[in-house]
Amino acid sequence: MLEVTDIHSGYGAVKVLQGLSFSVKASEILCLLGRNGAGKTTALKSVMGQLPITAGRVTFKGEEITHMAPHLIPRQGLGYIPQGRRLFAELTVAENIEMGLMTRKQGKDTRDWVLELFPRLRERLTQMAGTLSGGEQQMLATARALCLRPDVLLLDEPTEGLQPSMIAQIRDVILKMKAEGYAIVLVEQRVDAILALADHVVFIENGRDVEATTVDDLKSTPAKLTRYLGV
Amino acid sequence: MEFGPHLMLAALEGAVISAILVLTAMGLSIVFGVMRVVNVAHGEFFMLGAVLTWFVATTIGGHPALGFVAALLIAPVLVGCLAAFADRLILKRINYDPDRTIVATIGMLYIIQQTTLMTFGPEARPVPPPFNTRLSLPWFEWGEEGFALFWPWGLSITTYKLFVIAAAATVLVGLWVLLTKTKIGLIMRATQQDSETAQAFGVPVGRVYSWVFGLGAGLAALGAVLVVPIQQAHYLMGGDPLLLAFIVVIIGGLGSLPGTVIAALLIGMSDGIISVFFSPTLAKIIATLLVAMVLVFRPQGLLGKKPS
Ligand SMILES: Nc1ncnc2c1ncn2[C@@H]1O[C@H](COP(=O)(O)OP(=O)(O)OP(=O)(O)O)[C@@H](O)[C@H]1O
Ligand SMILES: [Mg+2]
Repeated sequence: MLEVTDIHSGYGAVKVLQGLSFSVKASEILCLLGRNGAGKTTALKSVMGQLPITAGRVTFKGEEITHMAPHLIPRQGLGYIPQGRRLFAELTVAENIEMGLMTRKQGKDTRDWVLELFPRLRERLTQMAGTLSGGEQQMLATARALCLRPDVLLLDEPTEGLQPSMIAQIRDVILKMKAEGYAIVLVEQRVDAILALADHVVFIENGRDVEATTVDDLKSTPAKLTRYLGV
Repeated sequence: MEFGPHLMLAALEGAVISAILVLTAMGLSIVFGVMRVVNVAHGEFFMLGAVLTWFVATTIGGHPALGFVAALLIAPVLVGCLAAFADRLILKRINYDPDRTIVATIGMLYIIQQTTLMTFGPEARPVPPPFNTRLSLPWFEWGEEGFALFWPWGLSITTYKLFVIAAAATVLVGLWVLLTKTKIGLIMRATQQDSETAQAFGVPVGRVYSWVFGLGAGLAALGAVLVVPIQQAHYLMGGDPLLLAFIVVIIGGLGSLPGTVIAALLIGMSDGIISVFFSPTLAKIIATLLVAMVLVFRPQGLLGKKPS
């Protein structure tokens, strides 16, 4: 579904990704792992076209999107849930959802569907997104991305700073999406979440993929987690 | 004239000034709000609107209303397109970097001003108002027989000035509907808050910026079309509106549109009233003092948010 091949990218003169590859298929959860500053967020931003890719290629559903205009990339069917949520804080919940629906011209049925997934949001449609609790904000960020009815979901640390019951709820939604056939790229720090959710993992160090493996392998050789993440 | 009717007359002058000012300042405020661009060339878009109005009106000839209506349609659109083009050509290339956009728009200011001088010459150009009937206004008093209306000599307003006030109010309402009730407005507000994330939801941010820059300039030009039947068009006329628009935007709170409206009313009314009773120079002095006070005691402006 999504193939990232040997990409280089960064922020102006700061080169961060220096040959990163990974790929994800439908109904599969790929976890990107690495220490703080390894380049996980940079990788997702590069895929979304927010950072210029100076070498390598990104293909999505067999079509190259490496240098596509950034606003056209989500319209192909990539839903992005950025680190720190990045909601439109001074728009209402309903307007944030509307922004998601607009991206791929989705209608009322999609709106109803996401509000069914997150009933809490339905009660707060007229509330400013910036005044939601952390958990509600993460629900809204997820709902907004699902409004695209994307084929791939890119999630950057969706459980950061949430309490256990909220984490469980987000996790349920991720598994539900997987069951519905979504391809999911997940950046996650919590080992228990990785082991419970992921099918494949890619370890990233200094902007390069250093090892790609399955989660079963990780369960049998937990030393890898220590080696790459220091946990 | 007695004090009451005199004040009423001054307030009406103030309302006309506010009407023009609110359109100009809105343009500046929207551009700053969405794009974070301080557009120093804003006054020149105003001037260009005025000069184009004269040009269109004299080219068409015939009844003044004909030329005026044509200018009302043509000048703001033309100026808006020019601004959108300047955005693509210049501001986009320098990546909307805050410092460099100031320098770039100063450059635009001189290019527009000098090009207008070379094309249309230095003369001030009058444009006849499309209609200009003088309406006497009533005043009231409590006499021995109770409440009574009368028509004091000199208390009057022209229909054109009333039209200016009504037109500005209509445009404001339209703008409010555009920003709060339409998809275009939603996209503009989302872009204003987080352009990168807006892009991740399919918003062509570059195109939105061009439209917004064009809209801002078009609003200034619209204010200018309304003003030329009262005040002649001239290649140097952009300075005052720029200064006043900045004053209004600072007092209202950078990027706050309701604040901009309130501040425009405040500055316009006080300008009108102080000019009539004392002198226009004193009005400018007081407006400038007001800005200084706001900057000292409430730097975020009347309705602006405190930077967190
Ligand atoms: N806007 C920026 N300008 C310059 N360098 C940046 C910028 N954003 C990130 N970096 C650098 O890029 C590198 C990778 O950052 P990135 O955010 O991708 O890390 P990450 O793997 O997501 O880390 P974390 O787990 O902390 O979220 C870091 O060294 C960081 O300092
Ligand atoms: Mg990160």
